[in-house]
Amino acid sequence: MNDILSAQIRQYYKAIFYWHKENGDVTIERIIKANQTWGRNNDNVNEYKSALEEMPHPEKATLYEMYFVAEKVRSGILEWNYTEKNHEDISLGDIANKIIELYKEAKNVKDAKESENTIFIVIDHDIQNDNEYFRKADVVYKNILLNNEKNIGGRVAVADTNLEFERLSGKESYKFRRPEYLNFEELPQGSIYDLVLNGHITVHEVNAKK
Amino acid sequence: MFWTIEIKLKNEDNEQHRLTIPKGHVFEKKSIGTGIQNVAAAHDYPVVLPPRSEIAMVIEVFCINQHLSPPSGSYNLTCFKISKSFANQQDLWSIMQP
Repeated sequence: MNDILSAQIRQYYKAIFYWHKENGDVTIERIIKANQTWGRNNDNVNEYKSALEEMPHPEKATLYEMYFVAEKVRSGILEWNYTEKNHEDISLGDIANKIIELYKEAKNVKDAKESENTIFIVIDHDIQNDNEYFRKADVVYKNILLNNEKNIGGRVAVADTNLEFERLSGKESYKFRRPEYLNFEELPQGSIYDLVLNGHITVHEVNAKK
Repeated sequence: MFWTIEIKLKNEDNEQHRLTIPKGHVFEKKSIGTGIQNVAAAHDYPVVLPPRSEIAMVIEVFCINQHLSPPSGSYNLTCFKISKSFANQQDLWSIMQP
């Protein structure tokens, strides 16, 4: 993953980690008091203690572990302290949201990098609309050429057709298929595409007509 | 009636090039998400390009994306062809489904 994003996530995670390590007892008292008020047992106290013990040290935590803790701050056992603020007056909830946002960004960068090599298929549950899909598709499929000056490509046909496949499959996620799963195959060496790519032939115009 | 792609080619070399634009060769729009059809050649098109020559060809095509608008405007020649056989437009649309 991107080193800068990783360092930022770790920096934010430190704020959550040290706040809970220093204020765990206060939190437990708060939970017990709330339980008494609402007539609940103290199962959530034990859950909080476990979360506190299991929280990995900032120097050793993986990115996923930090993301996992942030999710608990946003919506889980660590949510008790969502509105507490660190020494820079930023709430733990805001810090958690920042970690989640950066983690997803880092993951997207990783996915794109993997697609550039061999994996070439990504399932993305974060894309909300077609415009986001078009932007992401341009990254995911970036190792398929698109050179409008030379009038050659392949990326557009794959990205557009993949979206149509998604629509027809009726699922809400956006999956990026390899070209072969879209019934595209690469032209062999020596094809007209190859000759254009290597400067032997120039394509001046390609226009659709009826 | 077929849709067609009109393509102008120039041989930049001092030797002849003899090649084929194969049936199923894909032509694409110039940017993602235009909402306009990408297309595939309906037949094989043999091409002979004498040294330093320029030619214009008309290629009959079928539409790849059933739910997009009809072909129009500028296209790119791509590195892909359709991997399965098809005889007509309906065949191609049947292939291009998940």
